[in-house]
Amino acid sequence: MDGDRLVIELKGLNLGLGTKAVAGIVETEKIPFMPGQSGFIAGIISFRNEPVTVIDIPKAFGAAAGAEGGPHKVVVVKEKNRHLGLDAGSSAVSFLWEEEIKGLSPAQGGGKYIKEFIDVNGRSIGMIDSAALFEEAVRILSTEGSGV
Amino acid sequence: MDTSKYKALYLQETNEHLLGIEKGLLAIEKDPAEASVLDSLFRHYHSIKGMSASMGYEPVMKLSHAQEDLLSLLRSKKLTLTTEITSALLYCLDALKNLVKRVEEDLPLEVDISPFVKRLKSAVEGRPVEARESAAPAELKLSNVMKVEGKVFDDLLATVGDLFMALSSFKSLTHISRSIEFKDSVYLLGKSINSIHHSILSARMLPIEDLTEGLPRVIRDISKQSGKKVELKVEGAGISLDRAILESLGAPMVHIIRNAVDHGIEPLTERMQAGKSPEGNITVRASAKKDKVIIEVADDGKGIDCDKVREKAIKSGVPAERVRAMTDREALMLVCLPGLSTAEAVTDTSGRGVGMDVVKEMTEGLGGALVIESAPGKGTKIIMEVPRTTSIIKTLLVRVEGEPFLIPISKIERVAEVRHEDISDGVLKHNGADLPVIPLGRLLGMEEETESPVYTVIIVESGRDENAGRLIGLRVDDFGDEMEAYIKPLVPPMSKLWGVSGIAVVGDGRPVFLLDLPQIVSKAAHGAY
Amino acid sequence: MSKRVVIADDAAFFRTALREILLKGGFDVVGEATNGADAFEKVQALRPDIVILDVVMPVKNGLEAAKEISLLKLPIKIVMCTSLGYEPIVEEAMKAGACAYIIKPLSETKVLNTLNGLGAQGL
Repeated sequence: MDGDRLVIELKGLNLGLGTKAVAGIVETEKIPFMPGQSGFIAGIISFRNEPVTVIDIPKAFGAAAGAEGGPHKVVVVKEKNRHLGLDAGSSAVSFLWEEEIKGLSPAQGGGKYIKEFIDVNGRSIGMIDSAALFEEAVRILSTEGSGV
Repeated sequence: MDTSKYKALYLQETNEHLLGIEKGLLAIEKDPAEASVLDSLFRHYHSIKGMSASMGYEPVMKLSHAQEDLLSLLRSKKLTLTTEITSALLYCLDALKNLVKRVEEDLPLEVDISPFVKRLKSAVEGRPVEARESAAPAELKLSNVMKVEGKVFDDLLATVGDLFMALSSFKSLTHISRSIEFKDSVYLLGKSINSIHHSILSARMLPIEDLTEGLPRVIRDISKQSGKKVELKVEGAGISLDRAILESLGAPMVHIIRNAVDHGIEPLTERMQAGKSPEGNITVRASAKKDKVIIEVADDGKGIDCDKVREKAIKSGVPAERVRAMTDREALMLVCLPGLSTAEAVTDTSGRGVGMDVVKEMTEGLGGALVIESAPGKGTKIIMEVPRTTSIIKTLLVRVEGEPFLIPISKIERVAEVRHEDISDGVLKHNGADLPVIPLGRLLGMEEETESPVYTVIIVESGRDENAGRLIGLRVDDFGDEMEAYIKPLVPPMSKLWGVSGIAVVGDGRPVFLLDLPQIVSKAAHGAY
Repeated sequence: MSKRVVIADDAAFFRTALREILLKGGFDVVGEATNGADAFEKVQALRPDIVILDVVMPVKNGLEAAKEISLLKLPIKIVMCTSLGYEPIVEEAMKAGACAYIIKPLSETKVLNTLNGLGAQGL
């Protein structure tokens, strides 16, 4: 457990990400369409001139966005050498500093796309398993039209 | 003979021979027993002599002749190679190089070569030479050819792509600007970017030979494992391709050849019974067709059994009625199904399939196409058609259900405005023929389109195989600018996205997909929308 | 109709020079080969009237190619082409079925005289 955390505050669910894995946050009014998008795929954005696939975080975790209206906040994470955009809707995004979580041991359990939960000042935060999200995105985007 | 016009060719070939000599001399210095090196050394000297004689470069001719004679003695074993002889040859090589350099620089050739000939002579006679002359070159020269890390060119190309995008923003500004100077500058900027683009593309070109020269070794290793004898023939290896494309052809090529040796070429006894030559033949043939290169890998083995492939495909879950409706040619493509290609049993029954899905994916990922031809008992031919260069192509921006897409200009026949009532049952009467019109939005899985009194139809020609040459209309909202787009390949997780083959980030920073017309046309032809 | 010629020489330099001379002389160059084996195949496939074979070539030399080509018993005139000093080989090729030779360095008159002289032998 080291480094600062970025926290996405959905309704009833806080999700955390190590800031070392975060390449940047993009704010956009609309997320362009990606052909064959279904499931939690939200579309595509460009990040530093590179196209990045975006997934809908509230949809993926079955919780509503923390706030209504306003632009989409897309957290771009680096997963190995590839990028993935996490669309948090207009949920609030905050930070937890390393000092705040030092010495905390992870609570038991995880969930779909969640590696583990940590409890900070009475808040339970699920750490996002971005590798699993990435694999699921690959699966969704490969099923359509794979015929000969 | 009018020699002046052959000078460039003379210099080119002579320099190649000089390089060959240097390599050869260093090789025999290490291993004097290598007879084939002596043969090739002899031919190098002989060629230089012959060409120099024809050009009238007497000193070059005489000096290379003297060395050719020496090699001739070595070859016929009338003389044994000594270190003294090798150093004399190296010493004379430097003299030859200097002479050829004088030719190149149009300097007079009246050079006294007698000391060199003398040195050769004393080496043959085994007399020691007066020390003094050293074989090491007097100065270190830099070559005209630069070795550059391939990545440098990748970066350069990407930068040019960004320049094109910036240019497209400038171009749209010229529409609203009244400044002639501004318009002129943008025009000039465009010209310069184009010319940089072309220089980079040509610097990235490599001959197919760079790929095929590794094949004999591959074949040797594979055929050794299987105990079969295989002859390889390569044609058109001089045709050049963009480095990145050539590189990604490497793995598919080995897959195809491995398949041909393992499953195509029959064992010796079977070949004899079929009245074929004992050794199997594999021919790699490259040919250029406009901006594409066609690479065929043909074997004269037993071919693919179409019925077995169909059977296998049905077993692996492809709907039987679909398989039965396929022509043999279409059924052959079933070997590219991932399920089929990895199943080991297929290799026993149908005789082919290992990794063909990878091959298909690779060629299509490059914007190319894969075709398989096979005649039972006669052999199989895998045909890969790939673009010669990558990346920046002329496109038309269209809007579908409000979303922008790019279409390669080269595929567009024309653009038509069509009234709603002129399309019935998805067919438009066009020049007396029926033109199928595809609702692009629906095909791409977008929300149902709104009805409109007038449609824009982009008429494209982009079918493959049975659809080749057929025109098809794509219904879009409207179309915008023509633009030079730097197309990036699709990377995971969207590398297998259907209906699009690449993506460009346009001037305002938004990502726009390039439509994969062959895929769209083929799906439309099967009525799958 | 102009006579159809296949040129075999490992040096592009000589192939280019020969081709230009032959074109000037009204011959039709239908194929070029870079070694003896290649020459044999091209002759079989293209059935030229004349094949010009350089003596020193890689893979299979001109003499071997001349021998193999004459074994085909095709109505093809084989012309050897070489530098000075290879007379014995040329002689052997002539015995094996070659009907003329050109000694390098090439000159227009030398080449055209030799090839036109072939007509007198009933080509």
